[in-house]
Amino acid sequence: MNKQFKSKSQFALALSEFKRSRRGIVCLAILGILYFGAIFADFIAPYTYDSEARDYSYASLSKVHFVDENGRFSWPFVRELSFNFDEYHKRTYVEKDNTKCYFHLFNKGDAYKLLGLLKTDRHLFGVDSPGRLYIMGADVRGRDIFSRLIYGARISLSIGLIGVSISFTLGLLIGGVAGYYGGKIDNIIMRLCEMFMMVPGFYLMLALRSAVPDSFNSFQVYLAIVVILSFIGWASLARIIRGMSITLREREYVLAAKAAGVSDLKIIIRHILPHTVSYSIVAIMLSIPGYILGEAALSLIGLGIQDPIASWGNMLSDAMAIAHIQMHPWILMPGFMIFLTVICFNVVGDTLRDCLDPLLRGEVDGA
Amino acid sequence: MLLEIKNIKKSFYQKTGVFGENRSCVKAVDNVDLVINQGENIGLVGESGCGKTTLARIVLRLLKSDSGSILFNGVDITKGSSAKLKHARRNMQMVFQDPYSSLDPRFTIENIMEEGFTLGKGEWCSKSTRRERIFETFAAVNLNRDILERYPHEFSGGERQRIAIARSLVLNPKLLILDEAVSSLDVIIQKQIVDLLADLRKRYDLTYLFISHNLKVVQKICQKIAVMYKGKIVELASADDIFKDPLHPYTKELLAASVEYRSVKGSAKIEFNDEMRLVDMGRNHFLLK
Repeated sequence: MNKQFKSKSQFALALSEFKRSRRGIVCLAILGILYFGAIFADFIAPYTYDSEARDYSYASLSKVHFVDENGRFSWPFVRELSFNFDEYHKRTYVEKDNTKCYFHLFNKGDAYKLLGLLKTDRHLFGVDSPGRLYIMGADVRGRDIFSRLIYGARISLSIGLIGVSISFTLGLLIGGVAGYYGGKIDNIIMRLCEMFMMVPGFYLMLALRSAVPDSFNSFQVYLAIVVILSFIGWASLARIIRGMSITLREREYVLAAKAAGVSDLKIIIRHILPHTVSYSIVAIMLSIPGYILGEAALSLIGLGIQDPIASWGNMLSDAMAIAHIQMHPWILMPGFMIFLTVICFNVVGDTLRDCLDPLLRGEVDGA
Repeated sequence: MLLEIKNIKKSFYQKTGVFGENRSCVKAVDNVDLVINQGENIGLVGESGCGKTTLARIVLRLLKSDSGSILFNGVDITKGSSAKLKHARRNMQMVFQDPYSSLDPRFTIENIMEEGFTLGKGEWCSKSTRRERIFETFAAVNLNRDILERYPHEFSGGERQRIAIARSLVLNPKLLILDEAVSSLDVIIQKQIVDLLADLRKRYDLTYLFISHNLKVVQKICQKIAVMYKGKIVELASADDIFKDPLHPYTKELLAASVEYRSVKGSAKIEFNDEMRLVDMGRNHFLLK
């Protein structure tokens, strides 16, 4: 027994393995940035999600000038826009001369409460009104897509986390109980799981959504969607956890705990579920994209988060017409964000699986 | 009488065929009676799969028996409230075969030891008194005090088994069931643990139900030996009698194989029928007839 040797749990070892994977770290960093942006959305976004400017409908990316009309370098500014119609009745924007709306860091804009506490009207950056800064273009009502993306991240990214935590709590407990007790309880629970898995996910989602009253406000709808998504997700996890807990309940430490008089529920929570954790972490990472996509799918067809609240799904519904994509390709940005997030979660999940693999193997089929 | 096992039966069913229509039945424990007196260590020997471990698990109610009763201090723990069972489990602990899997790898030694107190939280209600008790048992099994923060994988097999023994001792049980407790250890460690068990027995007034296939170890620890074969106890006698004067052909075979590495001819077929009972052949030497 060497005293200097510091006790290292198996997880710490897996974590140091993770740090060596560049792919995993990069994707984790991207996710970190996205979540950070979502938390501080009010501050980072130059406009609020419902700040409209009808004169700027589908305005393209703002042209930022660094040189003024005299050919001298100047503090960056944008010009106000005016529009005409071309032969297809499409708006074409022209910059108005002699208008300069300077760019500012910590610009004054719409008032908001930072983290729900601090009342302020400073935004990370912005331009003097009446000019508008669109770093990713504008949507049909002249709302800044960049700002809406950040606000939308709040919904799209949180739905994955909350949904996963609900369905995993359900799945772990139900699967653990089914596997631990076995017999009739197991049989009933598993048949129930199969009933859920039998119905194609998307249609089950639509059916459940139609059960949500129309009178719900946007927050209630958000909660309803989370509940619906997690309701669909728990069954497959419960089945896997059940299988693992059947092997785990035969372990001698489980018997030892039982002999010591530890209650069944405590045994499940303390001795069985922790041993499924390396599998669960991977499964969580790989199933979050499903929730994000599920929300996006519901919102895309107009059954999810309702305008003007932004979510990546309902922002994408603008891009359902091919003509819009052709003329204003920037409205595809939310799709790109979904793509990026899903890829990142998958890569992080994959990397985690590689790191936890020795643990996974040791825990389920080995001794 | 500390523990009395009466007519315990346990069968395992296996479904075969496409729809599970054929049920084959394995009688793991078949009508076993056994009495354990205070201070009288009993060794339960027999080949793998003869039902020794199943019997031990039934005694602790880790498995439910199909029929029969188990009396601990005269109280039947197979029926009635869980309070009776809890009381019995406080006084009846088990040490498992494999010290590599009987300690949860995610628990620190402290957590593992704390779990031993589950049924005695009333008596050892403060953490400091529990800590005191843990150190007391550590001293009894020759473990250092500074291991509480460590994880099981940092210890050798012998150390782990001592931790497992310490865990089972914290509540001061009367009966300790040792299920192949030394079988997975190498011979030197085996000797240490056997010596330790002998020492603990005197110190804490313990009674052992020692399950093993290793007859030499059993001879060292136990006063009485029960030989089990195919779910039945075929011979029960004092350890000396078993070694000097084995009566049942299976006992002879077992002794020949384990002590002299020799096989006995003509003992391959041992048939049972339901009418067979343990019969006293004199000097408390019981034989299945």
